[in-house]
Amino acid sequence: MLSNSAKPTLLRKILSTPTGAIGMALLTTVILLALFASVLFPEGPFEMVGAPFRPPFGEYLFGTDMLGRDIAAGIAYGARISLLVGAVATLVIVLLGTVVGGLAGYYGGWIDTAAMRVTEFFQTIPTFIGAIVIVAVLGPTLPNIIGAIAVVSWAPLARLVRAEVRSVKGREFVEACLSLGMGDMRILVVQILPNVLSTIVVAGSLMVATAILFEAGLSFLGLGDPNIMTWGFMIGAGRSAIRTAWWMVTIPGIAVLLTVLAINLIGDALNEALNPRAKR
Amino acid sequence: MWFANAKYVLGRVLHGIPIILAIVVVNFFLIRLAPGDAAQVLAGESGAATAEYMRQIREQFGLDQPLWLQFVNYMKNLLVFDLGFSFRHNREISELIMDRLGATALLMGTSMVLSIGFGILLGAIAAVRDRTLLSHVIMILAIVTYATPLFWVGLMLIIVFALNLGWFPTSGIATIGAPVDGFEYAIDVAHHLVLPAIALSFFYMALYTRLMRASMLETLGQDFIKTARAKGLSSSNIVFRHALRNAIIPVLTMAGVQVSAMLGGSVIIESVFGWPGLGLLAYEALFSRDLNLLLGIFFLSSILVVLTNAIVDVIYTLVDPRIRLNGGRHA
Repeated sequence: MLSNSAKPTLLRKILSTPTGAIGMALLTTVILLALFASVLFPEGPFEMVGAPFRPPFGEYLFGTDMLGRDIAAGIAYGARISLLVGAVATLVIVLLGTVVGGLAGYYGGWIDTAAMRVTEFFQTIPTFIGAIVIVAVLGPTLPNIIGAIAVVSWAPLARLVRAEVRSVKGREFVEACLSLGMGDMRILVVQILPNVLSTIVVAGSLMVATAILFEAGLSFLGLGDPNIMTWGFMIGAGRSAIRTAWWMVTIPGIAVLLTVLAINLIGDALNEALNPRAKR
Repeated sequence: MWFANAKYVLGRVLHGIPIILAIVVVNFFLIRLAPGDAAQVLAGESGAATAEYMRQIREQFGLDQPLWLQFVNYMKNLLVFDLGFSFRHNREISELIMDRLGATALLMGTSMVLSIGFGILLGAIAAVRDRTLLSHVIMILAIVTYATPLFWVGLMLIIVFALNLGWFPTSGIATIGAPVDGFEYAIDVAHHLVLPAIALSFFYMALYTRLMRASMLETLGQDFIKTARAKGLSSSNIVFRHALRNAIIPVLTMAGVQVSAMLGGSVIIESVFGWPGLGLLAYEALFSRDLNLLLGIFFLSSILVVLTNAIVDVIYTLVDPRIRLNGGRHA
């Protein structure tokens, strides 16, 4: 389904829809910004480059903050963290969700019951408050933040994978594999999971967006790694100057908005390309 | 009938108990996962805790006893809703939480009504007027809003409507020094409520709009709608009496699920607007590193979600006769 030969067509399918094309263009911009942050702003995001409280679109493209740091540099370095958190958290979520959901859906029985009880627990706890508690207790480091986001978000994906695996498992070709004497793990990984992949890809792409919003929210509340410049931190820090310097909170927020929007648009386009019948 | 319903309700409530127990277990072990001495962690890192408070914490959590005994004691305390004492606020945590519950309920309730109401309305319009300019505008707004961080919406509303236009106050729940009861007070609170409630409802409104449109389009394509048209019923009659009522169900299901997420959103919105509810309490607890209080809020908000889920399920069985007893919810 997502084999190498099919990839160009999938990309073309995404680019052929207006939403997918806009999403791809936006996301590419953010990725380039993240990649070239240290080339564009070699002095780093914490360096005081000029006078504080400079408005945007003058000497500095996005102005400076209350300490004279270049906001454009913060946006570029913040892009790295947002994308990193979104990607790594989603990877962990997909891994956890696929393993738990796959095993529960394939084996059924007590494994399924136990797995569903656990996912129900994780779906019941208020996710964002859960993430706050984990980061507050374990300490605000980047791995803890990513871990916290993954821990509170994997359960819905596990349920989705479980449901899909169950429905695929009922199909005839699985019985054929069984009668051929194929092992459970081989059937699950080689035969069933490829059929579930498009669902995982679509759900996963939307998870990236959610993870980025979570990270922004956590660092806005002051739970970010203090040694790392993030968009959420910039908005939180700009709050104290909101009466005089609107741009300090507005510009990093637009960066979050555009990045999340880009990923959502790509997710929608992926959904249409991979699950044409489930078009919404 | 009523007996069967009562049995279902009871079953639903009992169902939540293992989840609440699991939350207690997680809370208990989370503190012990933290680097350093648990008493130090609970008291906060600032070192401002007195010897007296440290002793209280050790006593409450029984930190000098074996682990299993600590756990039993912890459970006993929670059963009588003794969440411990907050050194920073110098009050019982359960009292602190109860004091703040009303403000959060008011904010969340208003936001839920706003987001569900406008979500259904906009989604229905977008579906009925499918492929028109109006529906495109609604859907583009919904997609953009769906990508917007809650706290940023709040800050933008403050910049535009509080700081520049001066229509609404920037923070708090009431004007300091104004009357504290009666009609004037209610108006004052409502005035303070406008911006935070709008900020909190924005994201969910976008979600419900998208869901409602999809659900409405699906419903409008179903056979019973075709039958109604064939019977010669008027268009508005079909939309309002037949399609809308059916299309709403997935939106309400989603709204039930979103209560848990909305609690998280209210932490953010309350800290943006200084709205004195549970969320602001959590924010203050973060700042003063009052982890004991933070865990109490986490525990209580989890119970709130379990209760809401049970209530939503029960309402379903009353509203929709197709969902009953042995079956879960559909949609």
